[in-house]
Parts: sequence; structure tokens; C-alpha cells
Amino acid sequence: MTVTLPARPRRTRVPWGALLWPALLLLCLLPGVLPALINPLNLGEVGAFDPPLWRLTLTHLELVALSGVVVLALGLPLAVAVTRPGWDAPRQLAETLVGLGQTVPTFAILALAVPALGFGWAPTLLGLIVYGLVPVVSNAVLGLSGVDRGVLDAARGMGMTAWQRLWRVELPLARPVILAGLRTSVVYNVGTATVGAALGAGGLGEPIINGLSQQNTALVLCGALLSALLALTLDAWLGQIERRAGQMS
Amino acid sequence: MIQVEHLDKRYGDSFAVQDLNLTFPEGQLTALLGPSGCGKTTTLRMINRLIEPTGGRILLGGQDTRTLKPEALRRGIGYVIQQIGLFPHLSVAQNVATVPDLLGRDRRATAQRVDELLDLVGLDPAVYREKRPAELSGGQAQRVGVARALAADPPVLLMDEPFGALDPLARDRLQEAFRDIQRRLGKTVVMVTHDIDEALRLGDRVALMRGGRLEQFGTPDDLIHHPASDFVRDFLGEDATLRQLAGRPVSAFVRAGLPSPGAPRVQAGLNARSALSVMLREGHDTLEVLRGEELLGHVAWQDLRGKGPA
Repeated sequence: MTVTLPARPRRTRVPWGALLWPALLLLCLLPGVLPALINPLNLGEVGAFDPPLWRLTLTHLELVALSGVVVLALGLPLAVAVTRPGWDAPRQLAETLVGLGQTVPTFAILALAVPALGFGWAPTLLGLIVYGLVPVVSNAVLGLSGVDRGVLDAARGMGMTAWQRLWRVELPLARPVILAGLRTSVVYNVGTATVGAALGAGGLGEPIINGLSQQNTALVLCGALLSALLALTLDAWLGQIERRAGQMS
Repeated sequence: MIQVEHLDKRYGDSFAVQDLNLTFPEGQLTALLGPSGCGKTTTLRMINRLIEPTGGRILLGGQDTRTLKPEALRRGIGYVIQQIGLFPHLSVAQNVATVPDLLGRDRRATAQRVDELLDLVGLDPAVYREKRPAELSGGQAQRVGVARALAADPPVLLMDEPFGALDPLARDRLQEAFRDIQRRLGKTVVMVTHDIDEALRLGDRVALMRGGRLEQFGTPDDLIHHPASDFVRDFLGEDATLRQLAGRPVSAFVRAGLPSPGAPRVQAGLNARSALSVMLREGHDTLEVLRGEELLGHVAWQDLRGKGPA
């Protein structure tokens, strides 16, 4: 028993994406940079923005972050509840309902929410939450039910309570899969949140909506480019967190 | 000491375990043996209440296990399973420290205890302490599993086919190591197995079950030489005596005496079955047993035929 296996190689790759995308995003937010880039394309006139682009980006980020927090706060307990033993029927129900959320178009959810919640942030958030729940719940259910049965049996046999098993064993082991679901959810919602501008929620959808109504493709391009860069930035950052979590477990 | 009284486990109309009465003696290893579906695992899991009995009771050191909270009961009982079940996100040391942590023991004392236990199961603490379960071979992982079960120094150890998933070489080594550990610690061990060799090799007592009932309970010698039924005899097989001999070194049968001229020579570490095989091959009734160059004595085939020392 003197054979020793080599330690697992821990490659430290330079996270190019996590540095490049936010740098490009910040560059585009500097006043005058985006008009200088887009105007030569002769797609339309882009002047100064009011409110400024960084404000719109921040609003957009707030929408996405807030919905992400709510999605996690709702989705994780739901996934935990339906993966308890003896909850097979509720689990199938939850998966069906959550899947339904994805099949209904976001735009329809928003349109349906307006009469109830009025214009502005509330219906937008509702749409983002309903839409964002799907990957979080399905990944969390997958991660939690994928925990090795032998590991759980050992945990129970050693005298861990149900809570201790959840906190010490199940959640840590499911964490990489849960984080992957959260990442998907957040990246989707960066795109989905642009629709919120139509309901007066602001954000990077504003130049897109304005561009469409004014037939100014350059404006649409501005909004699209910035939300794409925001999505890539968040994707790279959350991917970074996910990788860390994966290395820890 | 674990006393099982009129223990029942019923699922619907069928009994997994029926009216089981058994006393697992203190400080000894009892093998729960039987074909699959005989209720041996169910019995084991009722001892630490992973399965609740539908009737009867279990006394642990005289105390009814139902008077304790299941978690408290389980923390006082070591538990080793075939799937090993190490926590993959924790280091070897953290795995071993699981139960002491649950009991709120002092961290520094636990760290020292972890090193002692790794030593005990034959893993160098300096090398293995910080490893992850994924970096271990099956045999090493189950050594950690045994260390983890012993961490809080429980008087009782439950083992469910602990060596069943290992390759034959690792299984032999680990059985050997575990027998030494058991000899030193004298735990009350209940080991479920369907492996007759393992039961005869490691068990001080063997409880043979069939269809949820106890077929025979006794020492391996009792079962081999005085089977209670045809089932027992058939289950152990015609070569049961050979299996038993395989688990003992020939040195256990040595008698002092003058060398008999012409007798074949074997080393003391050889197992008794192989020694018998040498007698048959060489056509000799007696063997000289050596340790290194030193003559220990001789063994005649009559010595092997008897019960031999336990």
C-alpha cells in the first residue's frame, strides 16, 4: 500500500473570456465610442443617449440580477422539496409545470401580466422569473437526484439528520450542476429582459425598441451589441464560479 | 452485545425477517450468511434502524434501541457498506472525521485520531490525509471506509458486504488486515456476507439465514461438523472444510517434535489447505514446518482433520 497516485493536476487556465468580454463592454459604454464604431456603417444616426448607455446597462443588470435572486430563492427550495424520498408525484408535477413555463412565449407572459400588474418592472420581473425557473429547477432536481445512493446510505448510517445530509452532502455534491443551471438561466434572461423595455421597464431593450419604431437599425445594433456583451460577460463570470465549485468537489 | 428478540419485518403479506432470535456475542465477529433475499441485510439495517422493525425488539448493551433517537443510535454504531460511500467532495481526513464532527468532538483531538486510524488500516497518514476519494483505489477507499466507521470508537460495527466490490487480491488483503484490526480492537461486529469463504474465514460465529428465518447459529466448526439441516450442509458445500483450512496458516496446526525423515518442507505462513495439497502431491502424511530456516515442528494430516485451534 505504498503506491501513491499523482495528485490531480490543477490547471490554472487564464480566464480570457472573464476578462475580455467585460473589457469590451466597458469600452463600448465610454461616451462616444459606440457612435464612432457604428456610424461609419451608415445604418442610421446614433447620437448621444438619454439616459446614457451605462445607466441602461445598469438597469438591465439590475433586472437580471433581481430575477436571478428570486429564481434561486424559489427554484432551489422547490427542487429540494420535490427530491425528498416519497415525493415522486410532486416532482413530476413540478417538472411539468416548470417546463410549461418555457413553452409559453415570454412575450405572452408579459402581455398577460400587464393587465394584472400594470406596466414597468413588475410584469417584466414576473416574465423573467417564470422563464428563468426552468433551467434552475430542472438542473437542481437533476443534481440532487444524481447524488450517489451509497453516499447517502453511508451518511444516514453514520447518523446524519435529514438537514445535515442536505447541507453537508447533497447540496455540495449537486452544486456544480445547480450553478450550471443558474448560469443558463441568467444568460437567457439577459436576452429576455430586452423585451421589458416594451413594458417601460427600461434597460438595453430601449434603444432596440426605439430603433425599431424609428427604423434606425444603428440603434437596434447598439442595444443588441451591449446586451450580447453583457450576456457573454455574465456567462464567463458564472462559468468561472462554476469551475471553482467543480474543483472543490 | 446485541440481542435480537422475536424480530419481524413484514412488507405487506410477506416477511423479510420472521421471528428472529439471536444474540451477537460481545467482542466477536458474527457473519450473517445466506442466499440473497434471506433477510440478512434487512436484519443488519434494523440494528441501526435504517429499517424499522414491524415486530420484536433489539437490545444494544441491554438497552432497547427504540428508546434512542435513530441519529443518536447510529452515531454510536460503526457502519461500513459495499458501495463504500465516501463523500467525494471531502478529503480522506474529513471523511474519517465525519462522526466525531457530528458528535461535536474537539477538532484537534479528532485530527490526531484520524492519523491513528489511517495508520491502523494501513494507510500512511502523511500521504493519504489530504487525498480525495477519487484518487484512491477500491481497496484503499474501503480502508478509509473502515477507518471512518471506527472514528468515534463505537463498540459495535455493522458491515454490509464490506469487501464484496473489491477485486480478489484487494479483498484478500483487506480481509487479512481487518482480521488483525478486529483482533486488536475486539469490537462486536455483525458482517453481512453471501461469501461462504469470507464467513468461515472471518467469523467467530456464523448465523446462517434462509427465507427470513435463522437456519443455524454457531461457530464455523459447528456448522461444518454438525449442520442442523440438509440446507446448511448443502449451502456450505462439500468442500466447506477446505474453505475453512484456507483461512488458517499451517503454523496454527504445528506440533513440536523431531523431524520425520523425507517429509516435505513448507513455510509457516502457508495456508492449511495448500499444506494439505502438498501432502497429497508428495504422497506424504507429514510435513515439516519452517519459519525461515528454523524448524517449528511438524504437521500430520490427522492434525488438519481435527478442529484445530480457533
